[in-house]
Amino acid sequence: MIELVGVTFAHDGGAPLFEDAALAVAAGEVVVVEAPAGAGASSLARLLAGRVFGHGQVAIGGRELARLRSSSRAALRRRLGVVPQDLALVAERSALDNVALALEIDGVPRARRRVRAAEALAAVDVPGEPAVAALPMAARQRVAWARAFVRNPDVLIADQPTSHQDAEGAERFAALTADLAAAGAACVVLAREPHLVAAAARRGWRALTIHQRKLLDIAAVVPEEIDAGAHVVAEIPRAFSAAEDSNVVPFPVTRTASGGTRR
Amino acid sequence: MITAFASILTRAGRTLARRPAASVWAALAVAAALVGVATIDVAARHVGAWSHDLRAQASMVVYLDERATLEHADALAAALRDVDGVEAALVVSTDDAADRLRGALGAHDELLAGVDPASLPLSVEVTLAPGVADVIGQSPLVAELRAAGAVEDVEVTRDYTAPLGDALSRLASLAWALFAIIGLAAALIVAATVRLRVGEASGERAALAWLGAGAWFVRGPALVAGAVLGAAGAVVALAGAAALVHLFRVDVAPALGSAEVATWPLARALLLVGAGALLGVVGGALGAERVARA
Repeated sequence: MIELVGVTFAHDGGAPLFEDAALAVAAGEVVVVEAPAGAGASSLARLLAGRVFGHGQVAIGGRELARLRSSSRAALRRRLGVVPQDLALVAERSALDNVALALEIDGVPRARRRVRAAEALAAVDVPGEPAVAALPMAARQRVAWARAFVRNPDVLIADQPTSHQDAEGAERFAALTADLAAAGAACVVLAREPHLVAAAARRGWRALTIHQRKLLDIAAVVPEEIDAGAHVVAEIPRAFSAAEDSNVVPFPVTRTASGGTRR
Repeated sequence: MITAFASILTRAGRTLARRPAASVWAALAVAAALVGVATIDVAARHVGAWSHDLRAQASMVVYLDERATLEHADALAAALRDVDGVEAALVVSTDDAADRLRGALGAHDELLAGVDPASLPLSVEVTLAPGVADVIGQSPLVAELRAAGAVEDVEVTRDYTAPLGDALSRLASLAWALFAIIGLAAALIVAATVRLRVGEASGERAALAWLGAGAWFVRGPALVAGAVLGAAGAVVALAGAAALVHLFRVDVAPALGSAEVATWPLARALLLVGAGALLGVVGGALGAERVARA
């Protein structure tokens, strides 16, 4: 469903954020990219949505994004559910309007889209009436979730979707993502928030990281000499109990080759 | 399709309502561009009639001497009517001439005391085609008339309507040139207005980009908002021009001898509103394009 082949990306005039990246995410699969801040996770989200382009191939559903006309790319984007890191909500409009906007773009009639938007907001426990600007950040983030899920997308791209959530919120997002994947969607979640990382680990979702400009399986990364003042390295156990959630160490997290824990 | 159109209209309305004062200014800018055009349009449609009314006065008068009879005058008039460039030839009898003289003197008709109306000369008033009057003085026709028997004199009067027509024609060209310049400025003002208001909703732009909104979904509201501003401006322009035409009708038209000055038939008024809407659409498109590139 999602395929990256030999992708190298750099901002204009900058050093590459990642080089020769490869990724394949099948329908029904969830991949979590646990990249540290500044490693290029948001750029990866923009690449996957066809908002920016690098060298190499990025394809969704077998269609290479860079080769599509902008209208076709927009049409393809309507099959995606996206939670951007900055949320991209319309602050002065209500939560309901924000969620309904996705369906409005899809051409869903007004009455139906309002019912569906209300259902999507109810699923994330956010009232529809208040303007987004009046909501706390955690609720705004959930509005962005609802907007992504309301379309029943074929592909989910979520960039730090739980950065303002507590453990319950992260678990709620993980559950919604699991349901979407069970329905056949390919999901890429870019996360460094520990509750979500833990929730992903509990579900056995494939975990990757961007390490030294490479997109790698997190299990394959051997930690380098650590500057204790700059990095914190921890192992994320694959099977967490709920009680252990509070012990998760903030990202960057790297599993040691030997299986030990290093900070 | 209906859902998409309704969505575009709703969002266009929201765009316009975001800053009502700016919308009014943009509409007035379009009105300023169109008011001159609407006024010139009325003038252009009436200039022919005004010219005709002015040119109804003779551009050449053939005065006959005392030997000439009314039959002579009629024969001369008939002959002149067959000459190229002659639009009309009217015989003015001695009685008509006396009436005109009395009418011209008005309250001072005591000046006619002792004047025998029968002594006034017969004449033939000739109306020449536009442009001919300027060169008739050099025409052999005048020399032949002067040499003809029973002709006292031939007086060629200058045709003031031709320069007036030229001036109006140039004024019309100038008005269209001004319309092009002011119209461009108005379109840019509409563009800036639309851009400011669409641009203010930066969250909406970002959301539309992430959600895969198509070109029409993004640009449609800006185009519709521009069209509404342009059409509203055109309606204001028609009202303003109607006021100018009213003043013209009261103060100027009678002096031109044309009492009737019509404004715009419905189809023409709609055409002007359409021109305003088009101007607005151009502005909206420019604004939307800048927003899309931002």
